[in-house]
Amino acid sequence: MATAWTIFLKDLRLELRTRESLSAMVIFAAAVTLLFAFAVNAAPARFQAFIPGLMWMTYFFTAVLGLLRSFGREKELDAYSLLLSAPVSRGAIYLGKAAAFFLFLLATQMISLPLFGLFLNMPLLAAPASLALIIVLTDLAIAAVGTLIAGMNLRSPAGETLLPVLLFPLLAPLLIAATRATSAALAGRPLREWDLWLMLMVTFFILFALAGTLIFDHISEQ
Amino acid sequence: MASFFTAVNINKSFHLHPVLKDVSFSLATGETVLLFGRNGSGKTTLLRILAGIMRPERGTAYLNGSILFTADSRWRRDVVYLGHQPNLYPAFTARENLMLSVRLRGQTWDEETFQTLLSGYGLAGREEEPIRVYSEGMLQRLGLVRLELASWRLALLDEPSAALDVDGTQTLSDALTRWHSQGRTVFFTSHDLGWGAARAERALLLSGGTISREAPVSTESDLVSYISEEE
Repeated sequence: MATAWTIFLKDLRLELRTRESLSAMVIFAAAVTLLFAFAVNAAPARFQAFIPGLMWMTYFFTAVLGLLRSFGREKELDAYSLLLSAPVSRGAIYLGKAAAFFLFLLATQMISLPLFGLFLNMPLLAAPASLALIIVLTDLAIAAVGTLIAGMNLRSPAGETLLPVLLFPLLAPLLIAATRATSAALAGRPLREWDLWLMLMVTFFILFALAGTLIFDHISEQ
Repeated sequence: MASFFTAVNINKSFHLHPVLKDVSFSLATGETVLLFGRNGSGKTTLLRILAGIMRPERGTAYLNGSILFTADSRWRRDVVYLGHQPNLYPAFTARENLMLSVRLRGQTWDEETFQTLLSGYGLAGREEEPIRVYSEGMLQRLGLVRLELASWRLALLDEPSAALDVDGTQTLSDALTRWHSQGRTVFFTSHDLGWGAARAERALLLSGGTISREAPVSTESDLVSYISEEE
């Protein structure tokens, strides 16, 4: 765990130093939200049912952008070789990077999510605790899957193109679960009606976090 | 001399094109060995495999009898690698980068040694600057400071003298002599065959994906003639 903590702090410090990931992710999320706001402006009530889906699609692409930046940093001056040639567990490298990315995604949402309420009339305060739970669980799962796939693609020449192509089919069930849970929570439905989606998120997170920790050693080498 | 490091039948391909074909060789304790060959002969690939950065398709290696390339990362404690690039983060300062490197190797930070090494490599007073402002030569010097701060028994150096000026090359030569006297093994590549021949005790020619010649080093012209004979 000490190695995972070192990697987590390293990614955090790099982000605080450059602010490259977070600023790109926030700007992208805000720009897409505004675009949606203009697109649904003609009939806002009719589109209300689609807003949770639009929100999670926005954060899917925001996550792709963040992952590309997070792993892109490792390519500069071949810094990733410092991690790979170090006498540390690659599973710990995976955990450290996933934890840092989870934090970046969460921070991006804290900044940009109010725009969904402001411009798309999304009732964010209707069930704030439920919404927070859904966001945290979905982000954990996105970070677990995304870090694994981005790590796998890092050494591939076409890695940047492949990342969204590989990530979307893998994350589709999770994004569906997040969308359905968000819709149900904001509509004020009781938890027992949508707890299945939460269980799916937790299962996704546990499975991929475990797989990432165990197989990162094999996939991180070229 | 007893074999300290042995590589056995290492194979690696890229896009079905074989780069290394059953590469086998040994290194003795404290030996300084030059790996040379034409561009694209697979020198960097071989060093990166031995450092654990790339995975061979077949083959293995032994360090003091212990098998390498296993999931247990402890074998990498005895091995350090310095590539064409310094393997450091451009946004971090020299100090932050080296502290990270030391921490990853499970060692403790020694400020006095750090300052002494910085002075020795001509980087004194530059430790708080982000290394993205460093020149190529300064980055290479910092990469060497990273090596000096680590405890290791086998160093894998890919073109260590590239980008270094006269002073820097001399400092590197002194370091190679010191490491040799400390009984540390160095396996390095260089296209500057004159410099390489003067530093190495033995040279391995990598050609056609295999170690095609293994000979004690005498002069640069010997090495050039070995390459020519392979064509």
